[in-house]
Formats: sequence, structure tokens, C-alpha cells
Amino acid sequence: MKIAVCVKEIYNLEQVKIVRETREPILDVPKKLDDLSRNALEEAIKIREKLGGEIVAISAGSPELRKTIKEALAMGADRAAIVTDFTESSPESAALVLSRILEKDSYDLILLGDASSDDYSGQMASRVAETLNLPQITFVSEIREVSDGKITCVRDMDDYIEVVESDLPCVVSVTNEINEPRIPALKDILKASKKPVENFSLQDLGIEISRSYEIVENLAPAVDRKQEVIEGEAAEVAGKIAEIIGREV
Amino acid sequence: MKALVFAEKADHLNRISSKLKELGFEVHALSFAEVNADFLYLAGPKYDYASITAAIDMLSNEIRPDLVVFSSTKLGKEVSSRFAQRKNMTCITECLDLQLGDSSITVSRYSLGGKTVTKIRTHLPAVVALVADAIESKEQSFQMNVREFQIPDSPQIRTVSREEKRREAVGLKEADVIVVVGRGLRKEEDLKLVKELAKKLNAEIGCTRPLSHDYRWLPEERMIGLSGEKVSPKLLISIGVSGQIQHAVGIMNSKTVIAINTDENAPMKEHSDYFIVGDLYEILPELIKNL
Amino acid sequence: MDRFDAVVVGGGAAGLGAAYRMAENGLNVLLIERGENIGEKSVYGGRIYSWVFEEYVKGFRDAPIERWVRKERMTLLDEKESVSIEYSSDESCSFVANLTKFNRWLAERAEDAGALVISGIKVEDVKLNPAKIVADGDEIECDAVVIAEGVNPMLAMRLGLREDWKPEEVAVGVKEVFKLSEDEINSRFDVESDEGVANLFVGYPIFTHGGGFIYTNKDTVSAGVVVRVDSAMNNMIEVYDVVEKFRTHRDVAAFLKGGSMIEYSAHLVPEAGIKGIPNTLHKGNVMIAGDTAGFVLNRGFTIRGVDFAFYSGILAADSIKEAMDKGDVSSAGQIYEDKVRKSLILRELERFRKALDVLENTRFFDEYTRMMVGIMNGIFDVRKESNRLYDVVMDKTKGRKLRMVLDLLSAFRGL
Repeated sequence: MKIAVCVKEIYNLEQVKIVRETREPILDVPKKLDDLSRNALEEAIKIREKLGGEIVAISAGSPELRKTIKEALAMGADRAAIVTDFTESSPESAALVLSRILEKDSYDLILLGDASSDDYSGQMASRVAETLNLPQITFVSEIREVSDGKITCVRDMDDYIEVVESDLPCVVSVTNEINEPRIPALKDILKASKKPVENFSLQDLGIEISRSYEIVENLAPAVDRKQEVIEGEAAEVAGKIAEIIGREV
Repeated sequence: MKALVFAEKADHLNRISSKLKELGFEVHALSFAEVNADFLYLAGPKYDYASITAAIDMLSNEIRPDLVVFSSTKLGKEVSSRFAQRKNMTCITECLDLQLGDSSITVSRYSLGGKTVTKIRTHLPAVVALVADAIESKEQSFQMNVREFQIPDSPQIRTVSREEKRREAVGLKEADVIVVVGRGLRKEEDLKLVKELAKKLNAEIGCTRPLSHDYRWLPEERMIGLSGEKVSPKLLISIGVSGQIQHAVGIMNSKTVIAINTDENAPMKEHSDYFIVGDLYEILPELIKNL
Repeated sequence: MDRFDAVVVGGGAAGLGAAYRMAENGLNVLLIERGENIGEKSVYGGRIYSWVFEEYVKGFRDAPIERWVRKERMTLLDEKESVSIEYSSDESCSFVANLTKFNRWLAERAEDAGALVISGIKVEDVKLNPAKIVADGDEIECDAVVIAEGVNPMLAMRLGLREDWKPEEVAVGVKEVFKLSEDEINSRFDVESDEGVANLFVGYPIFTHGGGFIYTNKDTVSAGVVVRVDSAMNNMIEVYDVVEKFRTHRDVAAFLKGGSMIEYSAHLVPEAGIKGIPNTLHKGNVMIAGDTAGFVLNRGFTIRGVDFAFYSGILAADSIKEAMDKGDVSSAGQIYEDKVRKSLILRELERFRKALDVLENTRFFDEYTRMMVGIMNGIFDVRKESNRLYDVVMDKTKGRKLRMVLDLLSAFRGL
């Protein structure tokens, strides 16, 4: 079984601060491997544990990705193939870059998160599958079975649960409920430092990125709450809450 | 200007159609049910991305729309992006509004995990997926040309079974008072405390993602946040909710927010009008007595 | 399991100095940082003396430096007034940096040099003979360990290398960062874009051991208060409270006005000078460096710790290299001990041994600060009649001249 897992580096969102007056985000924070990418990796590792094979982590991002990708290797990917001069990211350009890397090899299964935790766009599985002319199974909450060139999954959709199967190769995107990603230990991290990382440039892949849209504005929504703090004995506090409720309803 | 729309849900389609009409588009809709449109392509229901993508592709080749619009459901997202990739086009999903400019559109969507709202402008033709619930539109009149349409049956994967999720009818959207509970609640049995409060206030109960999706103490449709319901009650009482931004965006349109939290530095404070520092297990029984 | 020539515990300035230097010298070195990312636990928004980086780090001029300090201000503050002395110069020997970013940059240099730098792993134990570290239940063997775990010396304590800090040996510092535009900072502080200001404050709001600070970054300003833990305890000082008071004092607020607070952090600072240095800095082939060893010098006007930390890391690295070259790697600890005792760090700490006694004297933080402000008030407060300098000074120093002269003399000698 040869599995590719497309992973994404995102800003460490917990550290992103907002300038209160201007509502601008401060993006001068380290990047990390997205949690949903970890879900996809974890699923790949489980399949490898059962069926054997190889896991390749594939990603496109900033020069910082050279560091971030180690998190994927520490978790359990056997090697990585990345592009690190991809800074102008749009879903279509990202799909193109990932697909070009994927084309360099042949995979039985391509796994990814159903979206990334930063912008929740959720396009990558479809776009990669379309580019590579592969079937796709998106929003997978359980992989029931992988065998004999076939995969069976449970999809968690808005209003229905669906069990579907597809021939391999196939693109599968997973939800964050599918598993609890493992946390690498020291020995995994040390091992990761020796795993091979193939680093391509956009030029190597023959890709030129063109901007397809323009960000007009990116600001925190205005929150203007009173933020009145109330402390004290439970009974007393409860009285005050009841009073507020009486006023508001 | 022409727009081609698809949504698997009739109410989503009607909302989106009205919005597009308001902006001056001639609305072409592919639908499984009778909905408002200038040109309605009425088809039997299909839920596989490959067939729907093929149908949209066929219709778009025929109609040559300036804008192709989907409802930003999971199905809508997967089809819109597959279609956009086939046409080598931009696609913007999870759009909260839509404005028409000079041969361009501008949309807003959350980014950075809900910390910011990004306004994006892109040239037409383009593909967008709109969050139907977020779209505000007035009733419009349409030409209503109806045509039967056969979606080509061309699935790429096999459906073994499909089961509707059992949905509790939840009135979060319409509720005047909502009690939201978060991870501050220690065990499932303690929900009865919250339910008792909700009953006294004639309130609906909402929750944060861990309670509905991880612990499964409450049904998914009660989850409030970025990937759940966005509510706008007169009063929202938030109990044991830390106030992660992914949840907070769901309560931003509430008129008054009262929060109870043991951690005085919880991010929830910023999203509260009244922030009560204290133990919900001490305060709730007293509060219930007081009401 | 892999074996390393040396393992460095802690990715602060000291640990990075050691890892960088060893990698440069061709040693196979592993650095393990507890925080999720390098630099995350490094809370310092202040001034760093540049000599050690100029001397030892290649390409140091590309480091993420916010501004070079060209203006030094010392401000005596009481409730409503202030007296400032400003020194400005064309030359600069120190810079302001965000230590989180600066350390991240240093870590990249160490990695470029060949060090293996990992984060998000807590070292649970360090063992001697042979030296090894324990993390996640695994042991990693090596020839030497440098413990640079910062001000919280858990491993050093476990090895019996030092005791935990007493309240009078550490201060708690709280830093707030305010976002302003670069131009606004230039005009408010009257500096050019690459020039910065270091401003220390004595007196209000704590009037005891410690004080306030303001440092200019490129487009933010760091401001806060440092107060010795014992004084905070004895005087019932709530740090959150005094930071608020400091921030809202008119002469501080003027610099921060309109700025949005984007960061709030607190950290402990060793303040015991030479008295905080343990008797031995090594045990076998395990050595301690940086804050863990107490290498911080506070002489009132200046505080230096980051340069000492980095330098002690360099010394540890050089000791390990020297011992390996001698073919007796077990002597590394002793070589380090000797090197540090003879080094600039210990010489400086020793030279300012008396500064500790001077700074122990709370009259400087309270009485004399108020007195100085009062004298200035007497001179400049002209309402019809002006006061003669002589009369003002005599009045303000009434009944305490002798004690004051002695105190000033001690300060003169000690600082």
C-alpha cells in the first residue's frame, strides 16, 4: 500500500493576536502542522499498521515548511516531498502544486483533511482528485475497510450518513472526528530528522502561480460587549443574574 | 448577467436565487424540487458528486453563466470545487455575503479559524458557495420557465447505504433565549441542571462542539459555532464555555450575553456583556431558585 | 537509539549558545526545548548587549533586531511627577529584540551549523556516568549535558547542583506590548527608525526593590514592571495591580497612548548576582548555564542576562570540545567550572558584589526618589516667588543629610 498524505502548514492560530483598535490580525507567529492534516496522517498510519507499505507526506508552503514537515515525519510518515517557495496560496494553485508532486509517483490512496483549520475552504480533495482524474470520497468519519484495490468509508454529511466504496486509487478526505492523532515521542522526532525530504521549487515543477483573486480586507469582526465582571457568593451572584435576565427578557 | 445555481435543499436554493435576482442576475437553477428561478432545470434527486458535477458542467456549457453558485453544504463544497477545478476557475466557499461589482464579485468569509473576516474580490466568471443561512434577501419575482432535466448517471463511487440523520427539531435560530453549555460541565447527568434552567426561561439549549461531536451528550444540531448554528437571540446565557473563537462567531449576533465561567481570564469574557466568575455548580441551583 | 556528543537541555539564549558553538565546532549535538516552539518560553522584551553575538555568531547583523539602543533614560517617578536623565549617543552597544523571535533565529543558525534542535519535549531526568538524558521514557546517551533550563531549575535541583530560589533572590517581571506605528514611535521617542530607547523607572508605583521599564521595538513598545518577590510579598504588592498603575501614570501613558495591548506575559528573573551562583556549576559531565546558574547582573542602571547566558553556553561548548580534543571527555565539567570562574561573567558579578547591598537599601527606591523629584519641583515650580537651589535642597534633605551622603557614597562605590 502506498499512501500519500497531503498536509498543510498553518499559522499557530492560538498565537494569532488581534490589534484591538484596528482589528487587524498579527501574523508574526510560528506555523504548525494543521490538526486536520494530523487526522489524515493518523488514518494513514493505521492503514500501514494493518497492510504495510509506505506513507509519503506531501505539502506546499513557505520556507518554514522545511521545519513543519518534520512534525509529519515524526508522527510516522516515511518520507516527504514538499515545495517551499509556495507563498501565494489559492486553492487552485495549491491543488496544482500538490498534484504535480503526486504525479511523480503512483499512489494507491491519497489522504487529506476535509479542510484546514484556518480557512475551512474544503476544496483540496475535490481539486486534487479532478486534476489527477481520480474518484473522491470526502468528509469521511470512518474508513471501514481497505483491501484488494477497494476502499469502504462512512461519510458524515450535513443531513445524512453515507457508506460508500470506491476502487483504488482514490482521494479520501477525513473529518476531525475520525481519530485522535498520536503525539510523537522523542525517539520518533529523532528518527524523523533522518527521514528523506525531497524539496522541489515551483520552477522544478514547471508551475507559475497567478493570482486569481484579491484580498480586499482581513479584519476581526467587531465585538463590542460590555464585559462587566460579576463576582461574589453564589446566592448573591444568582440574584444579580436573575435581575439581568428580568431586564432583558 | 447570468447565474447558474445548484443546491440540494429547496430552501437554500430559494434564498440564493432571491439574492442573485436582487443583484440583477438572470437565475438558472438546477433543483430537485420546485423553486424560484427564471429558468428552472428540474431533476430527480442525486447525491453523488460526479453526476452533479457533470450536470453542472453540461448546463454551464449551454448557459455560459457569469457566476456559478452553490450552497455551502458539504455536498455543495465538494461539487463546487470539483467543478471549478474542471473549468480551471477560482472557487470561494463558505461565503457569508455576496456583492456585485464591475465584472467582479466581492464576498466575505471567515478566515484564521474564525478570528477574522476576509473580504475577497474576484473577477467573473467565478464559482462561489454561499452559506445559505447567512444570506439576507428579499422576495423577488422570477420568470419561472421550467424544464425537466435528466442528471447524467455517472457516479465514480458506489453508494452502499444512505441514512438520513435523525434530527431533533431545534429552534435555535428563532429562539429569544438560549442557554449554551460547554466543557465546564463535568458529566452528562449534569445536563439536567442546564435543562431545568432552560425550562424556567423557556429557552433553547445550545452547546459547543466537544459536547455534541466528541462526548455526544447533545445532538449535533445544537452545536453553535463556525461549523454549526449561528444564533441571534435576545438573551444568551453561556455556561462553562471557554469562548474559543470557533464557537464565539456563532453567538456574535446575540443581543445580550451572560457568561458563567470559573476562569476569569477565559476568552469568553470578551464576548460577554456580563461575565460571572464562579462555579456553575454553585450558581445554577441558586439561579434556578431565583427565577 | 542515537548517541550524541552532547545534549543541551533548554532552547533559551544559554542553550542556543552551547548548541550553536558545538555545531560550529563539528560536534554532534542535540538541543531539546520543552516549549512547543523555540523561543516561546523566552519572555524578555528588553535590551540585549551585542558584544557576544558580534564576536561569536556569523551573520549576526541579519538577526531580528528591533532597534539599536541610542538613548538611555533613567526616570524617577512619584505619583504625579517625574525626573528623567537622558543619555544619547551615536554609538550603540546594545539592541532591543523580542527574545522569542531572536532565539528562533539563533536556533535556525544552530541548525544551519548542524545541530539537531527539537521542541515540545520535556526532559524528565539527567543521569551521570555515563551522562544521559531521559525523555518520554527513553534514554539518550552522550558525552556531556548542558542544562540551560532557565530560571526554573528543576533538573539542576534534582542533581543537587543548586537550590531553588529564595523570594529575595528573584524578581517577577510583567511585560505588556503595545502596538503603535513605526513613525509614531519615532516621533514619540524622538529617534530614527533603527534607533531605540531603553528607559528604566524607579519609584512609583512600587517604591521598593524593582522598577518599571519601557523599551522601543520597531512598531511596538514593551512596558512593564519588575518587582522582587520578597518585596512584593512583604508589601502586599499585586503585580497585575502595579502594572496597571505604572501603565496609567501620566509620564508612562504618554508613550503608550493609543497603542493596543497585544501581549501580556510574566517571567521570573534571577536577581541575586554573585550570591545566586552555586558553589559548583558542574557535576561530572553535566554543567549548568544561563539563568539556571544565575548569570544575571543587575546594577540598577543596567540589567544584563541574555549576553551572559549566551556566553556561558559558548564556554560550556568550548569546554566540551577542549576535553574531547584532550581525549579525556570526562574532564569537560571541570574545564567549564574553571573557564566560568575566570570569565567575564564571574568577574563582572564579583565586581558588582557591593551593588547588591546598595540595591538592598529601599531608601533609593522610595525616600531618595521622592526627594529628588521634590527638589526638582522646588526649583521649577515658580509661582511668583522662586526658590533658591540651596533652600530647596536644605529643606528637602532636612534631618537626613548624613545618612543620605553615606548612602550616596555607597551607591557611588557599589554601582
